[in-house]
Amino acid sequence: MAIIVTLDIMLAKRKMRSKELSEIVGITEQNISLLKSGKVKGIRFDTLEKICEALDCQPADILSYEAENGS
Amino acid sequence: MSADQKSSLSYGRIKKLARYACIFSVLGAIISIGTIAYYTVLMFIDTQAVDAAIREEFVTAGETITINGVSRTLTFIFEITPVLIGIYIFTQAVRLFREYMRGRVFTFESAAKLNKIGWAVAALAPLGILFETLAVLALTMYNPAGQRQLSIGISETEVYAIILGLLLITLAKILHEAAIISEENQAII
Repeated sequence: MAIIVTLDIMLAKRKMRSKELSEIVGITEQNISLLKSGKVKGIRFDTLEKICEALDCQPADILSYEAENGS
Repeated sequence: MSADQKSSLSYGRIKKLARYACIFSVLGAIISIGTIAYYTVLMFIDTQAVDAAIREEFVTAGETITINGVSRTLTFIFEITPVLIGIYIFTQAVRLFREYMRGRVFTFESAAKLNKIGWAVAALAPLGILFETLAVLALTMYNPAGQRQLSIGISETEVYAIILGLLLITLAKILHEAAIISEENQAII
């Protein structure tokens, strides 16, 4: 997928565990794990907002775009 | 009240309504099966009672019917077939409402069950007319020449059934689309 989720890097930078983030954001740890692995089709703006607020970062700090081979 | 709380409340209402609907569907199925069982037993042990029921159902002023083994059996078959369709509708309804009771509302299975119910309800009207016609034909085919009848009747009940059936089929298509959206939503966090 061309959109890379770098949430795990941001969590490591902020020394925050997935469980703690899930409690702050109000979504399950399983969904955080799915998001980290990029196995989701999309992310709601309000979820993104809460994550950015919890990690004190910008959306670009947890999402990046990489052109796929051949495109 | 938050959107999640509203949604939870709505699902609670759906589950409660589905529980009552499921009970009524089970009752409908039991009554239909009981009716078929009752007349099947009567066919073997008390044909006079069956004949009396047939006369009550089909004989109107000045009309003659001939009841013998063949016409009685054919009438029995033609009369129970719509009831069998009714049992199919009730069993599908029970399965559908059980899905709703589990909170599985926007699913492909629910849409498919509603679609089946819709087709069965829509088919009930024309098949009911057809089997009623065949029953009258079976009861008058042993009459003397000139007294045999081919009676076709359509009432507003049949029209209601067709409209209701088509409405359910349309709702099933909408539910199928809703299931696609629901599946997409589940992949978005």
